[in-house]
Amino acid sequence: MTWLKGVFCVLGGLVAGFLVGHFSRAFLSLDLKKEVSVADIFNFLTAVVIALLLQNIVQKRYSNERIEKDLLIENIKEVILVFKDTRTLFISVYNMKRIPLDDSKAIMGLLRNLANSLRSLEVCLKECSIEVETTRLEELKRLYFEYKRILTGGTFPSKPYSGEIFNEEETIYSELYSKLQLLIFNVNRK
Amino acid sequence: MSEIKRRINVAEEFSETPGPRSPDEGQFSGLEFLEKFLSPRFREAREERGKLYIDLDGTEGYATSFLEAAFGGLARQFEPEDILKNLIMKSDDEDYLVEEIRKYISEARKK
Repeated sequence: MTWLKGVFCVLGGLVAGFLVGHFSRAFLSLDLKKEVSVADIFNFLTAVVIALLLQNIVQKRYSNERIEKDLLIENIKEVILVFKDTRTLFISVYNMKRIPLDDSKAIMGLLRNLANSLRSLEVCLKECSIEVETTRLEELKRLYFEYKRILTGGTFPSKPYSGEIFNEEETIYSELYSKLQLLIFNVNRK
Repeated sequence: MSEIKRRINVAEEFSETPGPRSPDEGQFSGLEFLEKFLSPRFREAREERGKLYIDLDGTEGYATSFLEAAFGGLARQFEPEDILKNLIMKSDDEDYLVEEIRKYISEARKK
């Protein structure tokens, strides 16, 4: 029923215009000139053209920014997804109390995916017109290196993950996860 | 500017599955790589006043334990600044790997 809404809007506009005109003439003693000069018409047309152009530019800019924001958010979500997969595997390996060869390879593969998805996010952030502080990305990289060190450093893969490693992983995971979520909010607010 | 005098292709010459830190922990360890390839070739390249080029691609990935033992170990044998200047690394498979290795080289002597 959008057409009905449109009709009501037009009728409402006409009634409001009539009322405003009527009351302004009755109470404000305003006088309307009946003759219109060529300059007035030219002024009016120029104003309309400028208004249309401005609206078009703003709309286009908004639309481009929205596309870039959506793309960036998609990229961040991709990083979060790989990150969650890595964690799921880590917890399953921790519970096994040993690190099977296939799982050690899978952990390294997921960490590689994580690095590569972070890198593509970095490229997107640099190329797009939305400005995000470089410190945010540097912090994400620092946490990634720290996360990789926890999962594959020390005696990896010859000895099982200890309780200490489990706690360290928990801390860095939470930090990295919340930083990624904050980045989504940050991009969306720009 | 000095030119490349020695090269290492990890996947072809050493292993496609680089392993843990030390040989007693498993095969293809970081220490083994350091002793058999990295350290001697870097020394040879430096003796000829050249650089060492390492191709890191083609493997299943590098654990931190391996990288720390190999490249951190190299930084404990040679001057880290000299290594950073004369080691050229290539990694198309894994972004940030070169940056990570440079970090281990820089931090090796701080521990």
